Formats: sequence, structure tokens, C-alpha cells
Amino acid sequence: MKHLFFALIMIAFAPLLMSLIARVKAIFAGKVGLPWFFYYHTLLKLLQKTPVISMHTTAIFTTAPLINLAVMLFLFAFLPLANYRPLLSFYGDIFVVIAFLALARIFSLLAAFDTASSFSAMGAARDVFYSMLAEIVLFTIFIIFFRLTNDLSLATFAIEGKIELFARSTFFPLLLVAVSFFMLLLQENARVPIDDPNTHLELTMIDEVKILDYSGPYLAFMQLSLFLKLLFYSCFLANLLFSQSLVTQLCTIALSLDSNSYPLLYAFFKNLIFIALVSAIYIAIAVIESSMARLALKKIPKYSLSALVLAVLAAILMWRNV
Amino acid sequence: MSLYDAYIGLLSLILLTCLASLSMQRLRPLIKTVALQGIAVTMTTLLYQQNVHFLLPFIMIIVKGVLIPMLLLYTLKKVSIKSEGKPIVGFHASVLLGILFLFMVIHYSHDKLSKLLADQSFSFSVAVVTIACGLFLMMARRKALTQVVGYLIMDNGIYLMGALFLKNIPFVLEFAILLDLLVAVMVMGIILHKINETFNSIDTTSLATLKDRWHE
Repeated sequence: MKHLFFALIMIAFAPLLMSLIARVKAIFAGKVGLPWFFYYHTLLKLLQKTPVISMHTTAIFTTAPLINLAVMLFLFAFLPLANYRPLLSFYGDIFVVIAFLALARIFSLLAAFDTASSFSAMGAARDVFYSMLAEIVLFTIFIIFFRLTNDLSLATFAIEGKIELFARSTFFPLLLVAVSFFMLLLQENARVPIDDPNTHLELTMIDEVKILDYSGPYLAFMQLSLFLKLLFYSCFLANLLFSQSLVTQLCTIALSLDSNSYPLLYAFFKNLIFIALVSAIYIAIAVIESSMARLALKKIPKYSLSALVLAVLAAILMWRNV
Repeated sequence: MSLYDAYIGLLSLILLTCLASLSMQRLRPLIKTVALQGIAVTMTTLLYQQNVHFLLPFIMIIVKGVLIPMLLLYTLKKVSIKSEGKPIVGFHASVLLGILFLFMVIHYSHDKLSKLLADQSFSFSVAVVTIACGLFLMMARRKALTQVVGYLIMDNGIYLMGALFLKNIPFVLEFAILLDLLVAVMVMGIILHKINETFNSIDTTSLATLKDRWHE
């Protein structure tokens, strides 16, 4: 129940966190930046509009945004947040998560092909190739966690896997896994070193070009599901970095707050730290986005390879003593 | 963070620089990576060896981290090339081969050599991988400068291996090796310059054409 409540709060925060990225980027550019609630207004405005649908498209085009949004909302049921056990967690749910992510991707790809626009098809082809490379990294990281926990659930990976990782060795493997996962996050969500979300040239787009033909509520659904996807990855990464014992220590020492006597205040403080961690990840994305240019398309395989090297190195560091 | 953690961290940094050097196309960052690796290798001895002569690390850092990279960067400026064009084995394939070899070495040193090496199987694997990485760079790249860098990486690996098996590194011997290395890099710089003058590139494949170009 706690998890559901917190997940709803996080989902409600998703557009706000996107404007956090925009505002940090604006600071770097020396501008004032968007209003904090800009993306809420955009989504609301888009929802009120009448969509324009190409007469050459089929039902796939209109169902894809709904499926995307539904999948992303559903996946939050598997995601642990601030060490709360998620609503749904069982042995093997990691494959459900991966399969549902794939389902959402397949539908957005089919929709991109459905429009019969050459740009969308090009974006879809690119997306398939680069996400295939990213998947190797994702599976390597999951294999590490599987070997550590002997469990196949996202919650165990994020909650116990991290503790195991820390206990077996020092913080190097955890750091390597976190950096590797962060690189994966940037790639899967089409952030800057891979893809520029603000680009206006269709030829250089990867992710954005797939949703060019959407308008009105469909565009709102598509955008919201993109926001949620970024939030999903960021929350998983934040879980890896989040340490319950550290928070407890911080509470008892800094605030002289006992977790047993004030459970509500303690929970509030813990959630606040988690949200701050997620925001820090978003700020890191924004800093990367404002400080570096996107990579040339042919260099993206090398980027995935570097992420893979980091994950493999973490694995090696962990099992050198076994 | 204990001393042992720092040691493991340095070893993983050496591994990372090895794999990075396999993937690097541009020569300037490659030389800087090797400088970093040289410093990291020296620091491992500082942590690992108890009674090492106090001069050795300082001189090694100066030679491996400053002097040799500066010489290489100077040569790079002289021969005015920026990147390794088309290598014999591609960059991505090199990194994948590096990962594969790393796994093989780790596996072998765990299974077969665990009695011999005791708790040092990881340092042993890092040393072997570093040597192999240097050898691979010398074989799989065309530009002479990259091959010199491969030689330096191999030397780092050999030093690491020596530091692993010898309780006391002989002071004089190590200095002699360092001096040899410095002279070798200097000579290679001059040779590179000559190759560049003759063929207008430092591509070693052009050395195989045995025609006398001066009289054509």
C-alpha cells in the first residue's frame, strides 16, 4: 500500500522532473527557463485538442500510445521505491518487465512504420539497432545481480542485490554498475550523448522521429510514457544508490530521530531523500546535456561497448575472490 | 577505505586504461591514457611493496608519467598526424577480444593457478592482461606511434608482474630498465621522424615496400 501511494506521487512528479532538466539546462545557457509546471500545461493542452490522424494509418497507430502509457504505468508496480517492496514481485518478474518494455517498444515501432513516413521508419530502424546494443548492457547488469541474489525479481535486485554487491567487495563494483546503468539510461531514453531531444532535424533524430505524426491526446500519451520511462530507469538507479542504513544513521545522528518512535516522520524523511536522489539523477542528465554534444551515429556502438566494459569489470572485480 | 581497497581500485584503473587503449582511435588521448596507466602502475608498487627504495616511485612517475608522454606528444606534433586510420583489427573487435581474454585469464588463474598465486590471482590476471594488451596493440595497429604505445603498455605489464613475484624490486635493475625505456622511446621518436620524412606517413605497412623511393 505504501508502495502504491509513493509510486503515484512519483508518477505525478514525472512532468515536474522533466521541467527540472529544462531549468538546469536554462541555467547553463544563461536563460530564465521554462515555468515549473510547463509540461503539465502542455499535456493538458494536448489532451484537449482534436487529433489529426493520417488516413493511411491503421488501428495500430492509435492503439500504440495507449499501450505505451499503460505498460509504463503497469511497470511501476514492479519497481521498488525507497526500499518499499513493490506491489507485484515474484520469482522471474524481471522477464515480465523486460517483455513489457519490449512490447511497448514493438508497438511504437509498428506505429512508426504504420505512418508510412520514411523518416519514422528510419527512426524505428535506428531505434532497434541501438536498443539491441543497449540490451547487452542491461542483461549483463541483470546477470550480475542474479549471480549475487539468486533471485529473478526487480525488487530483490535493487534492494538486496545492492547490499550484496557492497558486502562482497568495496564500493568500486557498485560504482561501476551505477555508471554503466546511467549510460544505459541515457541511451534507452534518448538523452544527449545518444540523441538530442531538442533537435529539429529529422535526419538526426532517433527516438523523437517515431512520434512525429502524432498529435493531440495521442501525442500527450506518447510524451507522458516517455517521461515515465525516464522516471522508471532513474528510480531503479536511485534504488541502487539508496542505502537504508545510511538514511537511518543520518536520521538518528543528525536529527536525533528514532525510526521506531516517529515512524511517520521517519518515512517522510526517507522518501524525501529518495526523491532528492532521483532529482540528482535528473540534474546529472541535464548537466551532461548542457556540457556535451551528441555523439555521431557511428560512435554509438562504441558508447554501448564502454558501458558493457564497465559492467563486465564490475563482474570481474566481484568474483575475483570467489 | 583501507589500503587494500585502494590497491584493488588501482588495479581496476589499470584494467580500464588497458581496455580504453584498445578502443582509442585518436593518438593524443591514447598517449595520455598510457601516462595515467604508468602512474597507476607505480602507485600499486607504493602500496604493495614494503621496502622499496624511496627514489624509485618518484623517478618512475617522472619518467613514465611525464617524460615519455611528453616525448611522444612532441613526436606526434612533429609527424602531424592525429589518429590511427584503419587498423588491422577494428576498435570494437579489439575491445571485445580484450574482454574475452580478460575472462579467460581470470578463469585460468582462479582454477589452475590458485595454489601458486594464493591471494594474488587478481593482480596476476591484471599483469597478464596488460602485457597481452600491449602485444595486441603492437600487432593490430598500423601506425608506428601506436606500436610504441603498445610497447610501453607491455612494459607496464612486465613491471607489474615483476612487482608481484619479487618481494624486493632490485633498485639498480629497475633504473636500468627505465633508462632503456626512455632511450628506446627517444630513438623511436627519431626513427618515426625519419619514416615520416621518407614516406610522408608513419604507417608501418609502407616499410614493407622495398623499392628505393629516392631514385624513382
